[in-house]
Amino acid sequence: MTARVLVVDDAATVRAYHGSLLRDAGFEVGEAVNGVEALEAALTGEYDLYLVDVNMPKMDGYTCVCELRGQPATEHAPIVMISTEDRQTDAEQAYEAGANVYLTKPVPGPRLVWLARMLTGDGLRP
Amino acid sequence: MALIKGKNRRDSDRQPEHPTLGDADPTVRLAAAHELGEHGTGVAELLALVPVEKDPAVRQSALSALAEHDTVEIAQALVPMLHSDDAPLRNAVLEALRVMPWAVAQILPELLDDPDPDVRILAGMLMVDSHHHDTRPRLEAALAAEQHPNVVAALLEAYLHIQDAASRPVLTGLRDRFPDNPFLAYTIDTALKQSEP
Amino acid sequence: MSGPEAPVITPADFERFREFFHSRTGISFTEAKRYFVDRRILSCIREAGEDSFAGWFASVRRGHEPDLMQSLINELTVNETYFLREDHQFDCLINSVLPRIVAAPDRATRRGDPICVLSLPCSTGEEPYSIALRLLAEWTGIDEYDVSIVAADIDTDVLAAARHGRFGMRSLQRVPPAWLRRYFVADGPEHYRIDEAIRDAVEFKVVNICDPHFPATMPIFDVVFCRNLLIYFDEHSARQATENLYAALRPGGYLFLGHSESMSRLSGIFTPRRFAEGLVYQRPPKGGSS
Repeated sequence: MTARVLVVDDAATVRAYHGSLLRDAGFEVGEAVNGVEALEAALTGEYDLYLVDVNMPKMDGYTCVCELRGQPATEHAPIVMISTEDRQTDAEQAYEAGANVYLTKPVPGPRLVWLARMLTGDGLRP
Repeated sequence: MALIKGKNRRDSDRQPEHPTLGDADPTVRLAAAHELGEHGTGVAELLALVPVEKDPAVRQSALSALAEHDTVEIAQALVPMLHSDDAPLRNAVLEALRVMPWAVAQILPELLDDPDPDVRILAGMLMVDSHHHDTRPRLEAALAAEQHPNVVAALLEAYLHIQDAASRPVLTGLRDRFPDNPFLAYTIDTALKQSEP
Repeated sequence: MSGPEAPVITPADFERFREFFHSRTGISFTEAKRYFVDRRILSCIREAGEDSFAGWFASVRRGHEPDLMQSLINELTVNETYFLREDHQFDCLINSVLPRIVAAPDRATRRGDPICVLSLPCSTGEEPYSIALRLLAEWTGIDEYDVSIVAADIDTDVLAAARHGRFGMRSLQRVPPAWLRRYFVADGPEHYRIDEAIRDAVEFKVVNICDPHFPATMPIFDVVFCRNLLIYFDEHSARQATENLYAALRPGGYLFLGHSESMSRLSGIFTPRRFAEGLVYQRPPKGGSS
């Protein structure tokens, strides 16, 4: 079964780029423009992986991830936080919010795809 | 029939009277922020509250009350909060700046020039969907000078909202300056293809 | 001396008018609505007995004649509606939202207080009366709990129509015949008027949702319906309106937007909640989630 990934980022360019990498790798990709839309998408659809940007209007990534962890359906969903910020405190906040992985932009394409495969149960196949 | 009209309601079920920003109850603080917003007062208290307020609605209402003024003084008082480690605070302040278009137009040059790349990124985010007449020249100037790839990405996002046929040289120049950036290559190539006659 | 031609509204006039109307009501018009808006403005100018846009606009701005502004708002707000529109949301109210409201921990301390519901914009009354009818006909809790419905709109003409409560078949098309018999009285050909007891039970108020004073003039609501209104607002006004709705709701209270609308363009202060019948937004309860 095709794994579904939700790409959450306010930048259309980032959604397009990450979306294209993941679609080329065989994933089904949904998009959300901010944390609110991500929560709504999570409530109405099933995703195997969430890629969540940190700085977004209306609801930032940490708040979004906290909320996702607070919902039964997404309590254990794989979540990757992606940020332009490289502070230690940001990584700590990400893990405190409940993210599984914290990455800084720019994320190398192959790395993103490998991580997505790993986290959606594709094992450690290269 | 159990549909009843207002006059049967208890009067106690209304907004708090004489609310203060220092109350322990977030509902009371919300009412206080609202009242200050209505009257346009309490700027110093609101500025003091914003960085420490944890309730998102109170913080947003406090920021809305401040944003109503749309002055450079208040915008400049908010900008330091963009450096905070507290991401929800940073984003809330950014949202408030978004509804202060006049003040932001005045301070944008200094934000675009900030030594902290994260602030320059937030400046780029502020310029998305901006209708100000200076937006395009400012973005083109910033794109020409910027070295940090993540800042370029943020500026490019804003620029692509307003690009047209005349943007081609800006975009091709950018792609040439960052030959090893697959995100920029993909994004610019897509944009160029879409603007092909 | 005025000529026989209609007053002219230049593009610059339209721009000025657009900014002014937006700043007063939060409502934005796109270029596409230009023709529609122009005709409505011309109608207002005629009604006011003015012969130029400039003269009329100056009077409106001065604010010495509130009727001018009210007429203008009435002309420019669109109010097409019918009974039981987006009915699954009323299902949601009865099956999912009200049971949670009556079971909420703080309700025990407010036994005897009515459950307060806001319908805004109420337009010509179809929405608040639909809520009333669904509750009376189908909610088992209606015998145990009092419900207070407030119907609010910025347009005084539609409020007057709503108070009057007379409807044509187009508006009533989805109402079951049994309800027509039980809750309405025939009133002229192809028209029905809703029972006096139900009309009297709804409180009608003139309200501007962007006015920061609006929550202070209202009771605290358990449920708000604000459907297909905020879509017309720009970022700034939508933000104000959303904050006002939040302030007007009790902690733990619920907000229904139009079923194709989303909070994602508005604000992150509400929590999206999914029930069997659809998505609703909740003001976070005091002290954590329920």
